[in-house]
Amino acid sequence: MRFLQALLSSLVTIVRTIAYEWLLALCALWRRLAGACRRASAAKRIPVRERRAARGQCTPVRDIAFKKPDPLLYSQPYLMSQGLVVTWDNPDIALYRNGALVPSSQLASDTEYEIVARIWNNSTDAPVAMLPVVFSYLSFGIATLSHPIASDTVNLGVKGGPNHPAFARVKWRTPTAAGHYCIQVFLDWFDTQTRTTTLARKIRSSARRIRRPISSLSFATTQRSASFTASRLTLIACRESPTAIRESAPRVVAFRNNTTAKTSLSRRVGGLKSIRHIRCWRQQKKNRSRLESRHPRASREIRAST
Amino acid sequence: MAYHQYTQCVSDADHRGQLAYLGVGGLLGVATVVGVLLAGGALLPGAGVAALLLIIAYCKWWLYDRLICLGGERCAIGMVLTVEPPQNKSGLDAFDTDYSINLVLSPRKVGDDQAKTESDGIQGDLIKNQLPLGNRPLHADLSREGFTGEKTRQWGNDPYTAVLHCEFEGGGVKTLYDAAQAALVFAAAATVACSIPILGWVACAILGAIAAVITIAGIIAALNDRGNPSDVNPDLGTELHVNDYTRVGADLLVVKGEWVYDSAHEGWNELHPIRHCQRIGQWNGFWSWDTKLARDHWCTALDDADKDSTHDNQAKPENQWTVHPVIDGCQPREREDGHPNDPPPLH
Repeated sequence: MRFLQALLSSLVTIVRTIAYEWLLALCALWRRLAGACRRASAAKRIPVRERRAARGQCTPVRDIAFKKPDPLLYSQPYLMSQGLVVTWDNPDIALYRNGALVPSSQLASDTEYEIVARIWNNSTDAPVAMLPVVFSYLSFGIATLSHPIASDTVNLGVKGGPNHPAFARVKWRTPTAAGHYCIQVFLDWFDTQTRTTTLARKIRSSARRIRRPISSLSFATTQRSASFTASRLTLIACRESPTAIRESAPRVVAFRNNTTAKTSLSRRVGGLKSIRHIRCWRQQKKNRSRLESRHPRASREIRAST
Repeated sequence: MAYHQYTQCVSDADHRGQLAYLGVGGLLGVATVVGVLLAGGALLPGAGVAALLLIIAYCKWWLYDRLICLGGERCAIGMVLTVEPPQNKSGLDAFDTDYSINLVLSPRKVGDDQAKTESDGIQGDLIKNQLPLGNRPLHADLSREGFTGEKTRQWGNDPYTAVLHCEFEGGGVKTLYDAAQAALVFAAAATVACSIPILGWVACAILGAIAAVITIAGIIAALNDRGNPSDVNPDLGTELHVNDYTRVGADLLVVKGEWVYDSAHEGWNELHPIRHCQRIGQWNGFWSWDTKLARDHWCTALDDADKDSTHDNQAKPENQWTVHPVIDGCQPREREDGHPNDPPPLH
């Protein structure tokens, strides 16, 4: 019985198709073809080069001719994060007076010094011309305050090339009040291989004027980056060794962290760029969630591997 | 300096033109088909040979004749106005897997036309006509309309802006060229074999199938050669940005490449291929540098990075560090003698 019903249904369909449905199908097909032709013709009116242009604001580029530099300073937290033993005597920051090296523990108040920062490039093919190097210092009290000193620009060559390493120099008059100060050197570059710029710190103490030694000194800042490249919460701590303080040895602390640099950059360029970064980040997040919904196992493996 | 280059530019005097190559390829193809038919061979393999000859001729023009050298390598700084990734090309254009960017040359702004940019005396010469195009026979290139300069716009309601067109080279056409050359031998052998009864027909079928497989594989490989996956170092991977709707945020680039005139389109100068490209800033609505100074600094730095002496130095042991010279670097012997444990001096 079912077989007969199916047969009858098929026959009816065939008859109906032959009678009139072929015409409806042909009309529908024609409408679709006409629509496609209209769209193609509208697209043709746009010049070829504009038609080829990417619609989005961010377009991935993958070519070996696209280079990124990697300017850096000696950075203890970064090196420690790599599992390396570090020295607290930062070899890349020094203070000079009249051309003579002055240990940071023997600085006098209200005196002009020259701060020299040595900058390296870990890239063998991407230099950085006009690299802004920003110097500032922190004063410690109830609150940690940052005070700008000056900035310099250097032309940093590639590893092994001319202008490598590069030296940034600024004049600095020490504060009149005795105490501990932390000199900061910030390489203000946004596009690096390791996606980091470097912020180095050197603790200066006018030891001869300190009345009571400070056993330890630490501070922490919390940064949150809007950039998709480093969208994690990071705690940065700059801690002095108590032993180093007691011995009045030059105490140098440097740290290098991508989130610091990124956040600083987005603060500098203002809200518009932050919006743009967030948009890119959202796009990537959307792509990731799409990938996760389609290939949950693969995305878990990718996440585990990264 | 690592980069992809598949094309070679020719001097203006040695430029033959698209029609010359296509004409020779077409004539050879027709002669092949006629010859095969007269010799009693099969039409299909003969037509295959003719098609392959035409493809080879076109690819050869594309790779080795299309670009006219204008004076070696040049360097420029500018703002990215538009980006043309190869994914947006269709039809036969899809074989051109070059990744193009259009730069507004510093210190010009969006809306500045060809004449204004050409005459700025700084980087304008890059987009200025350098060839005596008026003397060139009109039939030399099918699509040549004389020198027009390249102009484009990001938004439909923007004025057109004169730009410097720059291209990262993709290997699409070269792959197609290689495949066509490889397949040609088998197709020719198949054509000959087809004229021999029984055994020849079998050989003809096999050789023809091999030629077809090579050609199809070449076409697929060429269409997908939009960037070597091995290039994708996660640390190097990045995006190029154009302005958002508030007209800020585009990348500022320094670009170095071969300065050429591309005879395949309307007529403009370009950097092709890009041999070095770096992001050097982001557009905030104005040029924050003195263009001459910035260009000199950047271009000198790129030249220094590419010097032989630099490459020689990079091979030395003291430049093999990867973390920091103090951590995993070493000092030359003469320094080690005096100060074995000292880090490199600051001055």
